[in-house]
Amino acid sequence: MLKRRNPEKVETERIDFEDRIFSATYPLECERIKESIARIGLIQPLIVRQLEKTGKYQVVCGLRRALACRELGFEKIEAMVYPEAELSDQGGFLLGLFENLGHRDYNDIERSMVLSKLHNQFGLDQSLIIGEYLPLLGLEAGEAIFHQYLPVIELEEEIKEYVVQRDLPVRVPSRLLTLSPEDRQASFRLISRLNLGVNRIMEFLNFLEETSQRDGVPIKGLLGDREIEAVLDDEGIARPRKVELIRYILRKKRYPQLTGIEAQVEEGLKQMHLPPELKISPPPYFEGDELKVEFQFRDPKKLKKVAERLLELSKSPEIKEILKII
Amino acid sequence: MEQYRPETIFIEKEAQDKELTRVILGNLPGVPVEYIEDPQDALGRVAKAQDPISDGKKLLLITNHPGTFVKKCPGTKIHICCNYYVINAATNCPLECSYCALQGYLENNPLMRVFANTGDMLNEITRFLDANRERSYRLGTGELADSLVLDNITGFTRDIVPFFARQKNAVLELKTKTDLVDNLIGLDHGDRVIVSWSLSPQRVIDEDEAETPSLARRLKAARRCQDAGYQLGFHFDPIIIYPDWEKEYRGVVDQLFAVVDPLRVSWISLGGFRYYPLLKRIIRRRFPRSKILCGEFVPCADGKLRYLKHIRVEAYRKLLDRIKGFCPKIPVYLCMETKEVWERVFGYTPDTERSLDFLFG
Ligand code: SF4
Repeated sequence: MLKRRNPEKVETERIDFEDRIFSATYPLECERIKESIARIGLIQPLIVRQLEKTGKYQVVCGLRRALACRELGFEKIEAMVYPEAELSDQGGFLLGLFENLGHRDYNDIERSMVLSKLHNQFGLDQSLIIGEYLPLLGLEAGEAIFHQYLPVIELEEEIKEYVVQRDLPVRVPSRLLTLSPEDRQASFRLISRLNLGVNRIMEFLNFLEETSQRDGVPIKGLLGDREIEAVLDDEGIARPRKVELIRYILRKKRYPQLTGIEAQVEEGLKQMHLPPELKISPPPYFEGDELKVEFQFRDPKKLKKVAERLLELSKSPEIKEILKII
Repeated sequence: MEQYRPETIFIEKEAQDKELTRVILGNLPGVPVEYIEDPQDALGRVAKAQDPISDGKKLLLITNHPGTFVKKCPGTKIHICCNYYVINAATNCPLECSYCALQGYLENNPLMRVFANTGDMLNEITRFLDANRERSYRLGTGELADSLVLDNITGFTRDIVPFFARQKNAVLELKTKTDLVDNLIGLDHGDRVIVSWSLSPQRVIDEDEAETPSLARRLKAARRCQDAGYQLGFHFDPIIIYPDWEKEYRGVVDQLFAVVDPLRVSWISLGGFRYYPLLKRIIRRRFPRSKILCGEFVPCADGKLRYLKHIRVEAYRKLLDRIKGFCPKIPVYLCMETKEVWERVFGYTPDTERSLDFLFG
């Protein structure tokens, strides 16, 4: 076991802030920590490793705090210093990992970063990572989970930031990773501009991917559609309405026959000029051959009116047409 | 097609001394064998794998079936039932059809399993058929497995075919995508065994039925069975819709009747691709290039997704026309379809009990 060191003051300028070998923190943004340190000082010292050759310090644990101290103009920062000979790369990383696990949860980007470092940088055996480290990170021990999380760190910075900011579940970034970089960018632009929730993201990605695969057109091309761009660029349309309109366009592309029949039925119903208390609807997804009639009335007179209207409708060509369509 | 060769054979204790176990081991020399107390020991090998379904196909578990072998085909209340019984002699399949429903059913139990207590199975079938001598039954082994894909190593048909040859009130259907019919040739089938093939255009076979024999090989195998006196069955199921589907499916019907005699065909079924939502996730993960999920699917009352009704009806009508053009008398039925779709395709609905018995007389 590593011996605890007494903290000492190290010169800020001798800390190598670019050296991220031990870091699994994402994002490194440190505003809140800065505020806290500015008020009450650095309560918990950093853990650093001193390199033999250069005498420089690498931050093992507390990179965010170190950055905050630097921004606050600290000339010296309190740290526990380990010489290079006493702390291996892997040992340092694990020290930082366990130290962090003791007091905070990792987000999904950080989990991916941890797995990627353990696997690619320190060469730990996959089965060891799955069996021991996935549960430590609060994940189920399984190969599929490992492979789902591992590549997330490869995502573009802006997407990773968005995932953390919006606290999106890992299925979103891992789905985006299945797309080509161009398609991912185009999809991400749409997701972020419309500020879509998780279910909508997944639904839109389904529409886009399946249409793209069926028609052999990249997603980027589908989203370059004039109709879509016009909706996105129209400042007079509120965001929720934009989401609705774009959903309508994407669904129409994905389900041309279904939406075509829906439109015909809707048009037929419109032609009937039904009163508000009378509603006729087709079976869900046209599975079935019966129309449903719903009506409301408050007094017998109104009921009579509805009944007369229904009788009229039973002879109308419109109703026959709709029955034929469904 | 190549014979299935597992990476490891697991043998559960009670199955150790069974004849079927002996036959399998004799046909798979050199494959490592492990004797186990509990199937969980074997399952543990794949449970945490990245793709347990693929890994599970490489492990063969020989075990005894603890429950009943014969079950009514799991139809639903809303669909016309074809009154079919399934015999579960094995579960899972080494072939790799992207759409295979077994991927979902067996996701947590993905080993290849063969039941070695064949004697118990034959006794159960006898009891089942004896209980209702006045009724006729159709039974099949191709529900949770391909009926013939393991036959070269199990020799199972050498038991079951002569057994059915002796039955008076039942026929057995052996449903397959393979061309592994060597064992069948020369067996006494007593005209009580129908060998049937699932047929697809070669494009679908290439894109969505990995590891399976070509259409030509399936038809050649069918012809061999016809020459050996078997009745035949064919299943256009699942029908997949894509831009050229009509031309290509028509081509399959033409190829079929260029090879087999329509009068020797006991039945043909038609069924559009349908799936439980769970399968979508699996297909996406295991077959990311497959376009099979790109059709216009809608949720149906039984929880499955099917092509939009208008698309299904059109496909069934066109195929039916083509088939009837060769022989109007061939019994053609729809698999897992509603009364309404039947009516639109055939102009009638099967009789009151919602069963198709009349078709198979
Ligand atoms: S042949 Fe049948 S059982 Fe085997 S993978 Fe294909 S669909 Fe599944």
